[in-house]
Amino acid sequence: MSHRKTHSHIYQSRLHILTTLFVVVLPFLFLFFFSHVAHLESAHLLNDIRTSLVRLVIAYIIAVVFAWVSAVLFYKGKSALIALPIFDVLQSFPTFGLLPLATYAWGATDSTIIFFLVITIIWPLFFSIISSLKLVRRDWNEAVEIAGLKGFAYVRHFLFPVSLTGLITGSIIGLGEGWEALVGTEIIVGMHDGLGSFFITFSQNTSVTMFGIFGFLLLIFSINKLLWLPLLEWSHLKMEE
Amino acid sequence: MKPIITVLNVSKTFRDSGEVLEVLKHINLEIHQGEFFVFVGPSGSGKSTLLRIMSKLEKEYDGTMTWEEGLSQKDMGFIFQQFALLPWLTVEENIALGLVGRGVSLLEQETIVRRELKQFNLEHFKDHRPRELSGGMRQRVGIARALATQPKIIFMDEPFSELDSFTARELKDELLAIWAERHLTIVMVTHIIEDAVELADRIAVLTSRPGMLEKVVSNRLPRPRKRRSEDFYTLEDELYKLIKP
Repeated sequence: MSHRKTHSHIYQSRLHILTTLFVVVLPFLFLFFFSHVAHLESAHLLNDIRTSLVRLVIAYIIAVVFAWVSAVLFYKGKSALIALPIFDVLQSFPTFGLLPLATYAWGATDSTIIFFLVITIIWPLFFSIISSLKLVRRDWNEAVEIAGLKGFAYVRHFLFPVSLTGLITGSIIGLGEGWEALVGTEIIVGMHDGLGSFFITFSQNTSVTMFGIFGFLLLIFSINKLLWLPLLEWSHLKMEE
Repeated sequence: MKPIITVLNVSKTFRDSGEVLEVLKHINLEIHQGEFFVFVGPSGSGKSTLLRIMSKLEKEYDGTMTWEEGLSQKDMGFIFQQFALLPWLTVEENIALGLVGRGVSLLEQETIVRRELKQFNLEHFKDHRPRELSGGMRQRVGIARALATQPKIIFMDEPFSELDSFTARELKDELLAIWAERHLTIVMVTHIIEDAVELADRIAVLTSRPGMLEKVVSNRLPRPRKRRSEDFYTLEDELYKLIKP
């Protein structure tokens, strides 16, 4: 009997861990350096980042729940025939078209920003999860049917693992669009805090704005490098046959 | 012998975007309790489709297919050609899958899984994932999973065709021993005539598409069967003549 052993560790070597740790520290080093150069209070800048991040995280959680439940309900059968074309049309609708309506309903509040972020993030999540579910091998489905998995056991041992890769891929794409929508909406709505407010405040100061954009990219890069890419690699490994 | 499965006038047609594909036509047969029943036939004769109808995995077809009264989905196991192990679960978790579905207590699950791991020499690999195993070991896990729930009937879809000949030999011997020991009914699909002659009590030959029942051949060769005996070759030749590509 032969076998091969593979490891599903996210970090492959010490160098990998050290590089990752360096990437964690980098945005903070940059932040303090930037605050010093721009004569800003670090606390103020941190507060703006935190406010925007909280909005994005809340919107992301809401979008994940809605996207996952909808994908599971509509990925196959007759409901898919009706629902998927409708969702396809809905996702093509320019989301900025709904911004005046949301602003009218909630004003310049967190709710407006979060609502707008949810309708931006939800589509990549939904369609990525759908594609993961549709790619499930027929004999896996049959094995699970024969095993008689139902309810929570079905979700835990089958539905969630098979949708995980789609969930992570959708998160990467969705949050990529989400960051853009976040700053854009905060600027358009005229929020008094958050990254959008920061860019508006320093719109006349090119060097501060450039530094801000660089810091912003660094933050997104760090989150991708630290969280999403290792998770994506891990989920692919989990599904490897 | 009592029929455990009765197939009456079963036909199956696939319809996809206006295209009609008739795969099975007017199949009638009975499978008896404790029997080792094998289907052979050319590619596209609907063997696997018929197996899925009989195991209730395929629910849309014409005609009727009934199981013996009192027999339910919980009494059946299925062994797949490509193992169908869930890659995110360990060997142990894969074997326990049917027990989880049947609400067996954790303690009992452990006992049963340990027994199956031992039976199939998988004890040292219980924490491995399927990707870390060879084809033969994966199929051992597949068989262990099917047997863990103590089924009365096992369906097998070309279970040895993905394995090398040595592993297939080993698994066939183990399977025959388990079949006799646990008094199972086994329904198997294969394209390997030698396997059919070696394992089956009765062999159903299907025609090419649409699959119809050409003949059901009784295999009266004494067990254990000698693969190089004249009778073995004679039956093999008879089956080859019946199978028209």
